[in-house]
This record gives sequence, C-alpha cells and structure tokens, in this order.
Amino acid sequence: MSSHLQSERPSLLQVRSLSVEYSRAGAAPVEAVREVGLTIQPGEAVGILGESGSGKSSLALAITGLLPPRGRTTGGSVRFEGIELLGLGEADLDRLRGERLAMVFQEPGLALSPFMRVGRQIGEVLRAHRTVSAAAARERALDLLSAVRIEEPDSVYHAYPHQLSGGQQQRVVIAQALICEPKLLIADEPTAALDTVTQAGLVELFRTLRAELDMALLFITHDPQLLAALADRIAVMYAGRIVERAPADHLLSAAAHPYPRELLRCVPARRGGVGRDSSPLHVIPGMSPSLSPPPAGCAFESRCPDRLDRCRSEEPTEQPLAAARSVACWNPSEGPPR
Amino acid sequence: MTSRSARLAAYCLLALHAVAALPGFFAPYGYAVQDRDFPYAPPTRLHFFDARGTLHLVPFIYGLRPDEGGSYAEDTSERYPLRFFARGDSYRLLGLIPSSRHLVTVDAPGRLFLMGSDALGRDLFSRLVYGGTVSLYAGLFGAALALALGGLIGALAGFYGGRLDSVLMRTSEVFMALPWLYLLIAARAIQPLDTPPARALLIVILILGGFGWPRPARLIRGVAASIGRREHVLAARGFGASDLYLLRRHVLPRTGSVIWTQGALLVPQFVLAEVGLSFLGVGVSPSIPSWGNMLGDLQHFHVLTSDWWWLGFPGLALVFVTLAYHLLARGATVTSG
Repeated sequence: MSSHLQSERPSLLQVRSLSVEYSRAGAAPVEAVREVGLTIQPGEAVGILGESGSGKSSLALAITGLLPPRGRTTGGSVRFEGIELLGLGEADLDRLRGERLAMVFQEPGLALSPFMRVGRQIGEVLRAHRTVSAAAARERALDLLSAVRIEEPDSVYHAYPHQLSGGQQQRVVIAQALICEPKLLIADEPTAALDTVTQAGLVELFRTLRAELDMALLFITHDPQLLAALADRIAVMYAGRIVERAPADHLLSAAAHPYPRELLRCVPARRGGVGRDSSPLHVIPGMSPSLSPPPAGCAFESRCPDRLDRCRSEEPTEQPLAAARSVACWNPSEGPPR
Repeated sequence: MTSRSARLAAYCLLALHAVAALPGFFAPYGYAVQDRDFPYAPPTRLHFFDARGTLHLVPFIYGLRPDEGGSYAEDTSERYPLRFFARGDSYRLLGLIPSSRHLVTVDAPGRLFLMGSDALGRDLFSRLVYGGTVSLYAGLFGAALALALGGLIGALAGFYGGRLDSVLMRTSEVFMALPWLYLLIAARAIQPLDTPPARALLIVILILGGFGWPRPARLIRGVAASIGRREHVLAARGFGASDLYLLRRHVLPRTGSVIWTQGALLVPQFVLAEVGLSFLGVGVSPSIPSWGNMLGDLQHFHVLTSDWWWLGFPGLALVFVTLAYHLLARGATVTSG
C-alpha cells in the first residue's frame, strides 16, 4: 500500500474534546480529562506521555468505556471505526472490547484471575467473541503464547498466574489482548511494574507484534525513553489536557512546551563512564495542580520556568506549530532543550 | 482435627438424610398405623438369650401383656426374632415406587416398638423417621431457597453497587427487622384449619426461605463487591466479558465457601424453626409427624412424669442434627479460611 493511499484511510480512532470527571462525596468533582482530542490512524503507534494524575489512564478508560462508577464522561465524542462509543450500550461494547480493541493494564498480576489457569483465560477471550470449539480455542491460545515469545507454551498454558513471573504474566495478558487480532491495542503503563530487562523485552514484543498484525497501538506511559523506541507520534498530557503533540523524535529532541522539556531533563543523563555524573538530579519544582476545579490559567504556570503574566489568567489554547505538531503554551520555545 | 470432626459430621448427616429420604423402608411401620392394644408402651427390649439361657445370633423380642399397674410386662412364651428386609406395611419409596419391604420388623402379632409407642399405639420410632423427613427437608429446602435468593440478591447488589445495592440492602434490613415468627404464625393462621399437611409444609418452607435470605445476601454482597472491584474483573471486561459472564465465572465461584458455611448454619436453624412452629401447632399438623409436633406432646404432664421416651428421642435427634451441622459449618469456615 502506497503512502498516498495510507493517508486516505479513515481514522481508526477519533477522540474529540473528551472530558472526564470523577464525583466525590461532599466535594467538587475532579475534572481528570479536559477536552482532549486524539486521532489514531490504522496501524499507527501513538504514545501518551504524562505523570501520575495527568489523566492519561482516565483517557484510556473513557475510550474503552471502563470508567469506574464514580467517573463519567461529561462531553465529547469517541469514534472507533466510525462507531460512536460514548453512549453505546454495554452489550455492544462487550462485543467490541477484546475483539476490535483491547486493553492491557499496568499490573499483570492483578489483571489475571488467580483462580483460573492462564491458558483457559486466553482461550475464553476468543470464545467470548467467536463460536469456536474448546479444542480450537486451546490451539489458538497455545499459538498466541508462542507469538508473545513464551518459552514453554505448554507448561505456561496449564499454570496459574501466581506461578509465572511478572514478565510472563504481562505476556499472557498481551496474548489475551491479541487473540482476536484487534485493530487497536491500548496499553496503560504495561511495563511500569516490571524490571528494566523485562521492560525492554516487552517493548520489543510490542514493536514486532504491531508490525505483524497491522495493529494500531495507544501506549500510555510516564517514561519518555519507552516512547522513543515505540511511538510514531507522542501526545503529552498534563493536568487533564494535551499540552503538546509531535512526531516522537521531534518531541524527544526538541519539545516546544516547557513541561515536556522539564520532564525530559528529569531523566538522568547517561554519560560515558561510571560514577562521573555527580550533578544533582533535576526536579520540577512544585506539584501538579488540583483539578477540582482546575486553575483558571495554564495548569503548569506555577512550575513553569518560562511563564508570562498572561499564563496565570488565560488558559493557552492548542496552536499548530509545524506539520503534525501543536502546542498549548503562550511562550513555547524553539530548538533543542537547554 | 477439625476437618476430621467435620467429615464425620458430614457422613452422619448424609446417613441421616438418606434415612429421612426413605422413611418407608427404614421405619418398621407406617407413621399412622395404630395398635390400640399397646398404648404408651415403653421401648421394646432386644434379647439375645432366651429364658433358658440359649444364645440366639439374631436378636429377638417378646410380646407384651398389660400388667396390673397400667404398664406392660414381657410375655416370654413366644419369641419374635427380628426380620430384615421382610414384608410389612406397604408404602411408596420416594413417593413413587410401591413397596412393602422394611429394613427391620418382626412377625405379627409381635410389635417392635424400638422407641416405645404413643397414646394410640403408634410406633414412635417409625414416627421419628417419618418426622425426620419433614423436619430435615423443611430445613434443607428452606435453607436452599434462602441461599438461592440471598446469593442472587447479594451478588447483584455487590457486583453492581450504587443505587441497586442501596435498595436491595435496605430491603434486606427491613426483612431482618420483621419478626418472622409472628409472620409465620399469621400466615399459617389465615390458612383454613383443614389445610393439608403437605401444603402447610410448603408454606413453612416458603416463609423460612423468604425471610432467611437477608443474612446470606449481606455476606455474599461483601464477597461479590470485593471480587467485582478486582482489577482482573475490569481486565476481563476490557476483553469483552459480559456482566453475566463476570458474575458466573468470576464472582459466583468465589462466593462458594460463604454459601456452604451459611448453608450449614441455616439448615439447623430452619430445622429448629420448623420444630418450633410445629410445637406451637402452627407448623405441620399432627396427622403427619414432624419432630416439632412430636415434641409438642411435651405439653402433656404425664409425658414428663412417666413416658419419657416420647421426648427423649426426638429431642436427642434434634440435638444431634444441630450439633452435626455446626461442626460441618465450623469445618467449612476453617477450610475456606
């Protein structure tokens, strides 16, 4: 397929000004996601970068209709393959989830039922969506275990989750997610609970599987380095809003918004030799603001090194910056970080 | 230790329920068969040695003849050996298969009163066995109904939470606050006096189950709520699992231990409830024996003073059943814990 045709393909996922809030007993609701827009093309890998509480998980849960009872979407639209997901009935969502779009959570140990053998848990996803025999589901589950590079699929098939390592558990969850060959995989910090070596293996797995299955990926993380290896485009979330979006290499090398610039400075630099880097780690001063209610001006204003007077009173709107780039900042910087 | 006593209790209860399920076979006589010649007979003694001291491997009994004091003496002129699997009064096995075989009986005119007889000369052991059918299964079915209702309501309340949870749990509180004994009496009282015993039993079961559900429902709600909030349930939902599937495969299997423990506690409670009601005369009417209406004879003074066996055996049976169920419940708690 030529690149020209590819651009003609309709969006796989189109999120428009989506807002999510959580109600609290006896207090104002928390506006966790505020008018977020996001588009994913078929086969594309989009990363969402943000710290804890930035609303990135809420965004993923809202897209898949899995918000907890206290949370609700207060506006916007989520179109997946041309179907509006907000307001879609549970039965229709059930048909879609696992079949056309799947979600992988942060803690693989919690995402698997401790009372069922993992092979069965993988096969049941297939059987929930397709009319297949138990034997066929078993066959396919074993295939998937091999596909996610599990060393001994047969023994893992019969294991209970607690008998597996964290990395194996997450591979099992990914096998569950992929057994129906979904068009979109949403991964919410899938490697956060794992050690670095396991993390690298999983990132590699996501890369190869995406290519093999022509599947789009929405990868949510707080770790910029993971996105460098995985994502085509990155959207940065802060305090419930997307503050910058850019192709991955642009964002990681020359972010325009002060928040990702500061965030990237927080990653310890790797320099040659051992023990030579004695400079103190960079910390962004202050804390992310309360979203109940959100501040009037820019949410990053109090922590921003480049703030202007208007930042306090006026919330910046998203401005196009260059091709496929935009930023929500009154004082964006150009060029590489300091 | 506990598991062993629980297992023993389970076997005893199993045996007891088997006997109660086939009363016609285990009882020597029908529950309504009267022998007016032998009212108030004490428990018949089993003998191995006859008057001449000869040993008989199969135990035998002697006939009875009234003595001057209004009591009975053994008539040693004729022996009646116990007969196993012999023909006697006819009955229907499980209410279906006609049969007249009995586990143990004696040839007429001998009468085998293992636990004595009542004022009409009816065999109390036979009545105890038939009464067990009523009392044990009233408890069992009542508990099954309460658990089914409680399990369903509790699982729904815990799984969905929110408004449904509030409504169901407040309803359960109302039901717990209702004085069910008086309701039972009232429900029984509006029935005509000639209500057939089977129907009276059904009413007892329905009321026991209909008012017994709140406690198991509240416990199961807790379990369902904690399971329903687990991330693996959310993850399963993310893969397209429907509510029904989640309830069936993730929530209900985890409530099993609570259901078993509750069941083992509810059954004796309900057996006692039936006994209490029948004792008061608002349960099963005395034309069909139940342990409750057998104990109802406690209201007669002479029973206390001279005919102790009327009370002793149904009372003992009741104590035994209650104890066994509680051992079972404790075993279930320990095992699931």
